[in-house]
Amino acid sequence: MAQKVTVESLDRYRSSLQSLVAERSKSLPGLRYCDLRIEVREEKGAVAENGNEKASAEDYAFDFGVRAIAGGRTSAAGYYGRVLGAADADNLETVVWDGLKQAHQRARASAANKRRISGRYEALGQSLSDTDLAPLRCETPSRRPTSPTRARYRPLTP
Amino acid sequence: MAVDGCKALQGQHSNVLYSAASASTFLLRELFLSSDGADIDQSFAQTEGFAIAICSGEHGNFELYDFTGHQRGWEVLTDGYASGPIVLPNFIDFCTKLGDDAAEVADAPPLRPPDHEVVVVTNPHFNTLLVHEVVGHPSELDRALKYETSYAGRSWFLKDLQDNQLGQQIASPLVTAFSDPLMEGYGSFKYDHEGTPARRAHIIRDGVLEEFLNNRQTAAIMGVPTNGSARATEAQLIPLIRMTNTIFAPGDRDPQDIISEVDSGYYIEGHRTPSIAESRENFRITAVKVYEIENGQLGRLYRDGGITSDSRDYFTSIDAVGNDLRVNPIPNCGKGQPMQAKRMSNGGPTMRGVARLTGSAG
Repeated sequence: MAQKVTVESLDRYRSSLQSLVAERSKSLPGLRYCDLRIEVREEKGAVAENGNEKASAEDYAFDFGVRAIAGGRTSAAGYYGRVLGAADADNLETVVWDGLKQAHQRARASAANKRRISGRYEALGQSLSDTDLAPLRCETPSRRPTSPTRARYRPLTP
Repeated sequence: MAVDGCKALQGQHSNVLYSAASASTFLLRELFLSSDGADIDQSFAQTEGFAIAICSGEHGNFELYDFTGHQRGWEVLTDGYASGPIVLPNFIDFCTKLGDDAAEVADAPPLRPPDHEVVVVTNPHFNTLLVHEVVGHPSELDRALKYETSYAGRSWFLKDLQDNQLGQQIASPLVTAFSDPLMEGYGSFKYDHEGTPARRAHIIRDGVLEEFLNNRQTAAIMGVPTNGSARATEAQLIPLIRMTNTIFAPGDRDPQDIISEVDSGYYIEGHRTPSIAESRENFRITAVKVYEIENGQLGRLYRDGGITSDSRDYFTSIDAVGNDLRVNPIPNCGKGQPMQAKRMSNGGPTMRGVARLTGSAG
């Protein structure tokens, strides 16, 4: 029987998923950048109508999304997202890797189409430019939000 | 709690036709990992209450609903919460007031709008929706760059990269508006969903349009620094450019003085429904209550009223900004295709300007 998914479940995957995104992704041809968002939400609630109980629920949500930017002379973004269940917990790295490959293929296909079409239309074609991301400022914000946050940036070798 | 809230909505009023209340809470943990080396782990606790009442009246039924909530646990609803501009009653008091307001307004006469512009004093709850619709949305750079034109519209802030309002005076010098995920609110976070560190984005400073909300891709197109505004409702969905805690900054005026200086005008209290032009260059927003102001005093209460104006004309007419900033939770901002409903905060102080009134009585 699959284990219950809780917010603590993400501890189990964090290191392997970081390795997948930062290292294994280098094997994807033409990949310039990728990121992964994965979340668990535990929730409960109740509804009343005209002074009487109507419904109540206790549930969880578990899902992920990836973005890949890839291409040759021209780059484009590709996305993939999926809702997960407890049954995915034991092979999460495989599920996420399959998603990343999907996003990568979409990015490459989009980049190829972008390059092909941009030459066909003189003025509008110029709007089909590379997908670039502005650089990030990496300092830690000085004020704390209401919830605990842990983050670190470490430079990667090219 | 939901049942008690629902009963509080009904109160002692005989004209309540329908009431409903809900209470919910969640704990969310997000990981953001990137090939650039980002390794971000954020957790959020959010608790929310919702209430709706429909009351009968001589001039038809009146429906009123609202939300309360904050980034805390159940204590937001059991005890209420107050910190700076965030003032949230406990859930029973919240429901009681909403029921009282609905019952009172249902019995009020419909507003007959004058055929000319009038002085309006708008309260913080009304300005919560005004800043959301007429400042927040048009400052989203995906909208401004026309990524969502076909289903959501464009922005009068930016016709194109050469012809736009950046650096232009678009409001009275008394008007400042910003989006700040680092201040306390429903839209607070430390890193957005691209791993960008949160910071305050100064949308309008002293009446001048200064900055759009952006993501890394649109910031690169504009050649400006990122401001951490990319967020998705769920991880499986693509992050969109979103407001965070987006507010009109407070001024230094006593709100009572702002009202008492008006010989003839209207006090606009509480927001209901927006109707916004395609590029947000004009707006119509209905209010919960509209009071006449005569010789500096609040007079008769009307129902079914609101204000409408050209956006720039209205912002330029602002001649008083109160010191009574309130920041309210907005749990249901819809954007994108497929639709994403996102939580954020909006707010503002009491403000005074000139606009036309809208109403249902001809």
